[in-house]
Amino acid sequence: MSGPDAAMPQGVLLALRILLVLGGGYLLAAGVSGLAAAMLALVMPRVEAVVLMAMLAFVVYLALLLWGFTERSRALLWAVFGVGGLLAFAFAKLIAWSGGA
Amino acid sequence: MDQTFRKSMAWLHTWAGVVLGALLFAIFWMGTLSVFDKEIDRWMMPDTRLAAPLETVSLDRLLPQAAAEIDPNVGLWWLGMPGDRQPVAEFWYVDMNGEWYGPAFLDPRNGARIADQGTLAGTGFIFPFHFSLHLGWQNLGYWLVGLAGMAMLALLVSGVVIHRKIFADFFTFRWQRKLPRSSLDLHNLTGVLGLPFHFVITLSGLIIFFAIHFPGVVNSVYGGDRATFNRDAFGSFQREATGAPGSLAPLDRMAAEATRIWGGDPPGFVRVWRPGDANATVEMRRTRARSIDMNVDAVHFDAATGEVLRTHTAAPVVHVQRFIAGLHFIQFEHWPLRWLYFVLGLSGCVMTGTGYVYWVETRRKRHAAQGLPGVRIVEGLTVGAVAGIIIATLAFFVANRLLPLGVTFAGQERAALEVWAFYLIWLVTFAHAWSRPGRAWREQCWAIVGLAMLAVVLNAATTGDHLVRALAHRHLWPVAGMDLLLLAGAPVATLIALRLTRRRIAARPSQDALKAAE
Repeated sequence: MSGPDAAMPQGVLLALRILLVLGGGYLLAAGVSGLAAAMLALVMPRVEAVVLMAMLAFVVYLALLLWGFTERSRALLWAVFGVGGLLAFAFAKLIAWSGGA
Repeated sequence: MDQTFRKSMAWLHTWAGVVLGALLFAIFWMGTLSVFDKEIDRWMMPDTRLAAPLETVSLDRLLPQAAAEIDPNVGLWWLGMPGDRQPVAEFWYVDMNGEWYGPAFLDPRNGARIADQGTLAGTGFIFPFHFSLHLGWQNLGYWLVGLAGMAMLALLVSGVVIHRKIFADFFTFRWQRKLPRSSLDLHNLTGVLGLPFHFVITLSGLIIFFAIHFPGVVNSVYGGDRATFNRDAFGSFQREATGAPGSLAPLDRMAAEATRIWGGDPPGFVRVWRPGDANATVEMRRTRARSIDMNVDAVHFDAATGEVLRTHTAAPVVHVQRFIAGLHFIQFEHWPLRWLYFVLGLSGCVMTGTGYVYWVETRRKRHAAQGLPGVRIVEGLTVGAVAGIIIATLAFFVANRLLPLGVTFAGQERAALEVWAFYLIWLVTFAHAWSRPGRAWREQCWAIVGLAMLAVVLNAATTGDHLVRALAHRHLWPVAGMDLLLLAGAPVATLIALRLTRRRIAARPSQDALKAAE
């Protein structure tokens, strides 16, 4: 899971970054917010946990988008958006699939 | 990813703007019009221009009369109460397959059904366009609008970052300077003055649809059980039908009870679930006319006995979400604020449009010299997206006044024909814009002038409610307002057409504009 080859043309690199930041950023924002909601549901009414984190998810996504288009290290981007996004989303899906928190 | 943070932000601002600006303009334009969606309804549905005394409304008269002509064995009756902005009651029903039918409009004075006006008008076409683009497949429209919304937030943040002198931009608009400079001034002016509004309106618009955009957050707590989530969050409630016939207790008494529970606020709409069944329930929802939040206060009654089964009110965080949604939906009654929303919405349109003009004008010379197609493509896109959608909207209004009631053409109902007029004319404006570079802006501005005047004339000719008459009667003020805005739009389009004509004489990116583009 290392960054794309530096020999790739600029256009391809840019397209990859846009896909990674938009798609991976979404998975990460949705996954992290879902996990946070599942945890918050242990200490507050679950409908409140859901609505709170679903609203904050937009802010999380915005922050990730802005960072994703300014960060120069591609390796870090792939680690956070690629690996982190997939892991967080998969984990949140697993909880949902098992019937929710 | 560029050398500096500011340069990265400038890159993001430029390209997110160029790629999604057309979509953003369409969303802003339709959203701005939606501020007056019910007033547009009155203009496009002349038979609903009633002077209705609200005191006389009786649910026990209205609802059975509205439902008289339909199969009693349906899933749901929905009745929207008349109000300050909509003098007619609105009736929908849902069949056993979950299909919605409506709206039918009723005269609240006697419950009489108003003849079908053959139009989707403001609430049926313009308002849903704003958030769904009428692309129903897989919620595609919602996702595109969501993407545009996120881009808008990123554009606002990056726009602030690349700015050097925000305070000066409060007061700077050099109309007489060359086009790149004056369009950038206007872009900055509307962007800076409107910044709080633009940020809040975009974020609140996204937050309304949290359950569509982040279904995973709901699922991570509720699994796939949306029904329970909807019950907890919004107070949804219904009972299994028994199949045995039931009766309907007096609705006015239920409404009085709900009004008492809500400290004097009446119901805004009423739903009867499984009408005719022994297990039918009546759901009263509190009016949203009197506070900012889109409250989810509900009282559920047993339809047969009128006994209260359940009440619901939002939990604190849900209440915050409903307040944010209410900031966006403006269902509360407040005319000065409604006009302010309209003006700020227009400022968003101006910001989007001038951003495009600036992009085109600062690159025109270089692209021409290097033989790049960018300017030509984007200029056509801009003209079609900005002037074109305005022309298409005006064509929608004009078609509404020209098509006779009940007309069908090529198997299409009247309401669909109006929508066809909108989309076909919009397509034509794009074709025109790409085939006549340089002249398209001006010519389409003149088309706006002509169509706006024509719409006013046609309203007077076909309904008799001309401006003088409309201004003289309170219940016709929505019609007068629409005519006045059309009349106000014409000179603005004229000014822009003339300004763009002058530009042809000396269209060169000036030095200061290039500097500001850094």
